[in-house]
Amino acid sequence: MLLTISKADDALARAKRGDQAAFAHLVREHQAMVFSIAWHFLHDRATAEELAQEVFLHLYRNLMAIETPSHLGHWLRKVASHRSIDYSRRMRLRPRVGLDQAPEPVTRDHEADPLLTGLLHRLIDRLPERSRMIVVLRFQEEMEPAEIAEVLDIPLGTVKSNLHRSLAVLRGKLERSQKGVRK
Amino acid sequence: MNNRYLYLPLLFAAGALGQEFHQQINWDKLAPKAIENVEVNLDGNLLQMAAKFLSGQKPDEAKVKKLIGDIKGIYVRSLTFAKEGEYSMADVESIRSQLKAPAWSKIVDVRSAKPGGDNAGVYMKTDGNQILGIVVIAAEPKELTVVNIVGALDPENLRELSGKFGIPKIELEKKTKK
Amino acid sequence: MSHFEDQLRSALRRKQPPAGFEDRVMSRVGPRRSLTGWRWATAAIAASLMLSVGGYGYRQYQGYRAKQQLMLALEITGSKLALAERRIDQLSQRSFHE
Repeated sequence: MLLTISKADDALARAKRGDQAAFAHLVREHQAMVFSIAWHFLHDRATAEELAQEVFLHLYRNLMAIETPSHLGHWLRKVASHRSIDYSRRMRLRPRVGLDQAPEPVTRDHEADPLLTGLLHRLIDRLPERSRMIVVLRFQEEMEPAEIAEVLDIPLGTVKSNLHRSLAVLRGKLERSQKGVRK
Repeated sequence: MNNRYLYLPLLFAAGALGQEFHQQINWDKLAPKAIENVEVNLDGNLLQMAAKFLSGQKPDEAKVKKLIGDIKGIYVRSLTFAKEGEYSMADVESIRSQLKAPAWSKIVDVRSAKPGGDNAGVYMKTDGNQILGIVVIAAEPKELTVVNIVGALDPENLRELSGKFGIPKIELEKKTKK
Repeated sequence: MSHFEDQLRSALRRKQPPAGFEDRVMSRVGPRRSLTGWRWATAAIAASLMLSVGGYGYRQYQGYRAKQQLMLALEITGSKLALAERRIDQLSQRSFHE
């Protein structure tokens, strides 16, 4: 564990000194997290990749402001979340590819039920932007409500009530969909 | 004598003014609210240093090298905020107010009618056909950016950079005929 | 922890971006210098030489940083000029349709 921390520290320090290989290491380390926040939120692979690239370009410009590896993780989550929400708001009025047509990203998940996963993605996608991001950060990133509140700059109470409501809605819709399938 | 030397005193004055322009903006008021703060301050010496590291063999770098030949400074400040409304249009106006005619001409000024829209302004300082400086102000809902390029910019060199670094296509012919 | 929450966790598991993502990011931040094998040794010798000449090494570093900053400044300038262009396009399209 200590070794991991010192390696991460080292990569950050080297990247700050202009070492591009070290920066590439940071990208490798965090790309799944940044891409997945955008993908789970937007469900558009090309847009999620473009947005994730932009987040890392922004990181490159702001490296000097990053103090520690944990600060880096927090910073990336924050920027990825805000940019995804911003993008979604800007695109709200434009037609977009429905989730049914959006292909799953590269990772094949052999354990998860692909039908259930697809259904959950569609249900999550219908949540309002803020609620959707709260669900993504809670269940993708395993973040505590207080951390989510900090990342999204909203009160803790709002996160808790939003999460509670979203889960109830999702659970209800999932049950109804599954009953419908069984009939 | 090369005409370029006639501009030298003007350029030194422009250099000082450019730095001054950036310093006059009250960044201390705005920066603490930002979640990201990008600052680039390249004076003439640093630009010369950078030029030494630009390869004449690589086409893109050669073009940049040519462009910065007579530039006296590049100053960029870009603040990104977590939420909208962290800076006011009065803040933007106070930046714009420093770029008054006749020294500065407004080349582009697009302002959104609705609050929270994207606003962009491009200002140019000219002396005859010579460009002595460019200021770009981009006020987006969560981002405020001011770019100040000080010094003699050859429009032809600028045009050559079209399509690189996201710089849009620049059509000099059309603009000069207007 | 409920079964439903586990299902959500599973559906929202992190996924890797498409292959080549890292390379695409690195190509946008500037030229990549991959140092392997003997190149590391060369780089180490070069680095120690730079250190031995003290001020010279520092100037090299400053120059390299200045170049990075210059490229960054141009990238920001480009993106903001593109923003202005997009807004002009939007306005001209709007006035065309009106």
